[in-house]
Amino acid sequence: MAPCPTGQEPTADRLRGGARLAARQAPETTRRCDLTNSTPDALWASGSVRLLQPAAVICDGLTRSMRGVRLLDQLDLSIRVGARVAIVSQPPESASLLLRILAGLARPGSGRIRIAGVSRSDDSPAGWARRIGYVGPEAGIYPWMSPGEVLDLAGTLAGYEPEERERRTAALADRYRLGVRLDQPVRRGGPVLAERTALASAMLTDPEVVLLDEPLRGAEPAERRRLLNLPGRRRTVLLASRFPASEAGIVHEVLLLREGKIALRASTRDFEKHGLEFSLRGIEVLAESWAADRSPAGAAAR
Amino acid sequence: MSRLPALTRLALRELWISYQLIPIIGLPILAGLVVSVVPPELAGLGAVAGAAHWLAIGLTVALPMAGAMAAATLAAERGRGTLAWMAIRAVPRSAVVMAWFLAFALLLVVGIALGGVGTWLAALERAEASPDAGPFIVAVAGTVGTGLLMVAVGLVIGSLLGPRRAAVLTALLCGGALAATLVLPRADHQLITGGLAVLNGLDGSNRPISSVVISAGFSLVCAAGLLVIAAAAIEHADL
Repeated sequence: MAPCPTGQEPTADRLRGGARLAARQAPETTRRCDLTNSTPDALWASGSVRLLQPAAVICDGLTRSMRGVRLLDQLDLSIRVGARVAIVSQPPESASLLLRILAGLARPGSGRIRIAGVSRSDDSPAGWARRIGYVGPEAGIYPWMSPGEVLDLAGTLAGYEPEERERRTAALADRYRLGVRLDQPVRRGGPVLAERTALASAMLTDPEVVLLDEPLRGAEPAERRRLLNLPGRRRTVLLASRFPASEAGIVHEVLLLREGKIALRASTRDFEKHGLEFSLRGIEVLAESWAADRSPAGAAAR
Repeated sequence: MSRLPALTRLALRELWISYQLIPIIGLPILAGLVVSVVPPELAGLGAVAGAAHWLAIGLTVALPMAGAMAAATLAAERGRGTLAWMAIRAVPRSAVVMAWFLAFALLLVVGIALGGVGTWLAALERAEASPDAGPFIVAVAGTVGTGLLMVAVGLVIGSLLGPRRAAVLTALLCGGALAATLVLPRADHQLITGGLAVLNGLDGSNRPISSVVISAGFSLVCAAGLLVIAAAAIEHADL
């Protein structure tokens, strides 16, 4: 079998890999989504990706400790295309670390990841960088740069032609309301402008997967919700949050990591079903009931 | 590496806006200006050798400062997330290290060259006969190698520690090594401190040009090795 042009594993092998991982995934709610992780480039660009619902993010046995604390412990995770997932963790560093590992900013102790059909080894501007957008708790941009310069630099680094950069910058300036301040240094607009600019620069390449680590904390709640409701039904969003109540309406699914393992994976509808609020307390209550259901006694009762 | 010019321009602009560019260029120039007010007789040397000696002392302060600034800058890049912003856009981390090295190198070349011109003009004013400029020019050029070594040391330490610790450690380490140039017999430290050792003892050097070529070459090789280490350290760092 000839290798895929993008350097991915041959399709059949990847299908088997996806099936193995799907079998290991416990939650009933997501099993349907883990159809395959075999996703050639052309498929990601087509509308069929929504019908096939391949896994946009796959973590296989991720393990990582920091300062003697195991933050990720043999984590197997598969997130379908188009999912909007809030990741809550105890300790809170786990969720942030998971996103940074997915973004390639930190390394796992062991395990492997695959995002939007590519592995981290495809380090080209056309590969990994265009598929992933990451916004961390720090904006990570020079405060003396203007939003326009930041977007232009992001476009240059992504390898876009000047006309394309201009077109994308204009569209993002409009969506993220950067217009008036487009040519002013970011520091004049304060941290909110810096966060908005960081989000806009992350969206410049129209990435398939967006990783948000406590983003836009300085913004007004309504404005934050508007900005974080990222357009695109094929776009997968993972949002690490310490305050999940503020993510209501932005995400459709929640993942609770406890001591590096998945303690709960539920949709926002599950909260309504159980009459729980979408908050940290509600997540903990649902996690307790989830754990009880999965225990041998709970299984026997069912 | 095709994005290296853009990254270097960005690094230079950051140095300009954060006012770091002024001491990097200014301190070597200041060292050259000091020579014009300190008589060479104070060091018991002739016009050119005395001026070179005082310039070497000035650079003993200026070059570790440049190294410390390189260390603090790279550590700050890691801390405030700008390096992460680049890395997420498929910019190789090693390219960022290289860009900072080139930015500092460019400024040091300008600063040391201007400092050297100032020193030479001061020496000319005092010299009775027209002196041979060759050994002096080569020795000053050789100190660029020393400066680049200091910057590379700073980048290695900056890739491992936080800004303050990195700056202090680099200043102590580089300052200590260069201060040894002024105290120890030349044969012991010439290779480590590069052209600066030759500049300091220009009068006593029989073959200054070959000494500078050997010592500056050694400095550059060490700087290249340290850059590889800095790039590897940044590559494995959590951002």
